[in-house]
Amino acid sequence: MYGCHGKLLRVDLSNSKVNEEEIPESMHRKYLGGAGLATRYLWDEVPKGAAPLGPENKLIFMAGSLTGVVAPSTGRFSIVAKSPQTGIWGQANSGGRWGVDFKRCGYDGIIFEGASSKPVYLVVEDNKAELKDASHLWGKNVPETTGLLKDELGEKFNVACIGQAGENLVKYAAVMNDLGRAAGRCGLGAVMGSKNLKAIAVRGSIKTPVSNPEELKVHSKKQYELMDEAMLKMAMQAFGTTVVLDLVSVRGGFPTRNWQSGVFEYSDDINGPAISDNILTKNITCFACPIECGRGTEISKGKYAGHKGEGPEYETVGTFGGMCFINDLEAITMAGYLCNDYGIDTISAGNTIAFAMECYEKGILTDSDTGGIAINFGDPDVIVDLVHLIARREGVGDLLAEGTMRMSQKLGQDSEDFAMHVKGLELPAYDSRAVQMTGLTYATANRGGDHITAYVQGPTFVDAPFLMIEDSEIKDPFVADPSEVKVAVDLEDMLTTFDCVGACKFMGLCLNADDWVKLVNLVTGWDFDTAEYKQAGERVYNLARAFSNREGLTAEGDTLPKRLLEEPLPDGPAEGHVNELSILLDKYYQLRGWDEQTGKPTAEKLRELSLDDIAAEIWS
Amino acid sequence: MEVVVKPYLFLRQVFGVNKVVLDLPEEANVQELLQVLRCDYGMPEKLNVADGQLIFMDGYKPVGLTILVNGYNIKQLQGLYTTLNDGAVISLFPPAAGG
Ligand code: SF4
Repeated sequence: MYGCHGKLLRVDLSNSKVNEEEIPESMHRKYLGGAGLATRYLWDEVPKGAAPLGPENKLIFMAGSLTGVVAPSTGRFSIVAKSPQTGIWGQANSGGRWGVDFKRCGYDGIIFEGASSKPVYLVVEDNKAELKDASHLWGKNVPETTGLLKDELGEKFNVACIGQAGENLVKYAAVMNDLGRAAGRCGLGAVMGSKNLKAIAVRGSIKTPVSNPEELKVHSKKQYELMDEAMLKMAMQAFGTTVVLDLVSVRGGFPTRNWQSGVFEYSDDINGPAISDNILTKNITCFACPIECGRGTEISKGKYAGHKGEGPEYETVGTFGGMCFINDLEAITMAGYLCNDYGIDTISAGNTIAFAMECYEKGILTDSDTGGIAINFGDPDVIVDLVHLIARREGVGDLLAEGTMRMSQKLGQDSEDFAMHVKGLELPAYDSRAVQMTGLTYATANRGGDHITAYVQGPTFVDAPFLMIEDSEIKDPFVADPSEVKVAVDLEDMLTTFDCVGACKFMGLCLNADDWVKLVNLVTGWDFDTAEYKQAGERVYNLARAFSNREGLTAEGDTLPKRLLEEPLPDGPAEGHVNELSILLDKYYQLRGWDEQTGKPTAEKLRELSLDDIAAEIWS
Repeated sequence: MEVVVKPYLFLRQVFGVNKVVLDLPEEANVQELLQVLRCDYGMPEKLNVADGQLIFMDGYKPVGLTILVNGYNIKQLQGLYTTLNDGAVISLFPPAAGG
């Protein structure tokens, strides 16, 4: 077997047992490794109705088939579990180096099952792994935990861990690695916390076997060169992910005041150039990635001066900035640092705070609920204070730690109408009234309200065609055109493969599909052509969907917050627009081969994807 | 009539300013605007009009820039023949991705 070790660790936390297990080769190719393979294990092993924060849920880490090989931007890993935020399939992906260091231990993945009665961490080194007591780490934040483990085990160990947010079961807690990188979405840090698992420290020296190392070297070099020439790389290197802010803003789709507007008049204070001019100290990159979009930053003025860390990313700026109506870059950066330290997803956190601000503005949340804190739009101190409270679940933070969906259910008074989530997952900072197709992809993304499942922002908001699919052109982003729905489906399928092989989707914007599939084949020894490779993505997409269907998801869940469907944008280029989801959704179901009533993939579709056993179960 | 040209990201360094206000004849289109930018304003040399689009060259492969008029990509309007209104905001972007 190439591109993998064919082995995983099974860690029974209830009984403190660690075992090795083989991964059948057929399974590897069928699900492409990474998130795909992990999803198959999830389907097979997590019973319907399992409590996301109970011992029946499993937390599955899986490196990709390309993770750690000589190919650009392929250092990523995925975590899959049933999500405590959405109650359906949950997946989060992260870069940095941890995935590579883990895979060098000689394993492709780890399945954590059960729950430990006391805090533990797992240490993995060349072909061995051991659970250890983590009582001394409990209550510590991410940098402290990482530092203590390095002191204990050695500087060379790389750490993935949760901070206090995961311990306190904040619904959107992240798993952090390499200090500032996050497997952020879906609350998988809370799943880790529920199992009393604090960290995984790894160090290894075992190389992943590669099918054709000579040719891979040559081919891969070509890909690096192509990326080097890409202007896209230059823009991301200079300004990080926040490079897109101006493009989103100019189209009137930068969510402002909890999505009450799409135009943020102070965007120049918090955009990519503002970050470069004011706080950037160095670029940070993931393993083998020439793009270097990460931001090493230091706050040099104001009350947070002297604090250092990583970020903010575009989403952090979008949620804590525009959505909370804050143009204080230092406060946004500080809120982002704190999310990294406590281990919190910034998208959900910023969005939840913005929701609380609107509730406060409307009198739905009162001073007696907030313990006297005035949660006003535009108050930079409030975002920083609230992150502390959320992570510790103190005061009103306990309510906010539940996320917008649960908050709105609790508060009522029509607050559901402006609770900006899909299936419980808070939306990222692109308003789908300004780009119609983003609405469809929020509504149908397997993990809930997410932008990177399809990244249709590429061909719309930011005008970057996605080279890996045949045709990613969206003629007019303001118009909902059913004939363009195929772009969304193709993107979902193709980008799914990225989470499986462990590659970065941003890099995917620079390369073409045939070259890419050739690279995958050179590593793994598979013989995919582009169509078959993409179909493997479709298989995984449908498998994840089927998991969620088994948990009770129906077509009804594929919708958007009322604000996007019924409240027209009041200003900017998209003034007067709502999202016309229904125009696109029928076509989507048709192209997907999903049943319109139940929202399940049809048995026929599943069989076409060689998922006969799944068909038998969800249609029984 | 007056229109505002806003370069973004590193085009700001190329132009040296965040915005250029231009006086144009009524109903001028994007092509005419680019001409004025070129002749009267002295559009930076790295920017060129070719094949019906605005091109940027600087050691990299020449790349087409995105031109938005009042938030609409001119590709969805009439391309370089898109007519401008008084007070129009023309945004120029290099290729970018992220988020
Ligand atoms: S593009 Fe950015 S996020 Fe992706 S691998 Fe490179 S540095 Fe990491």
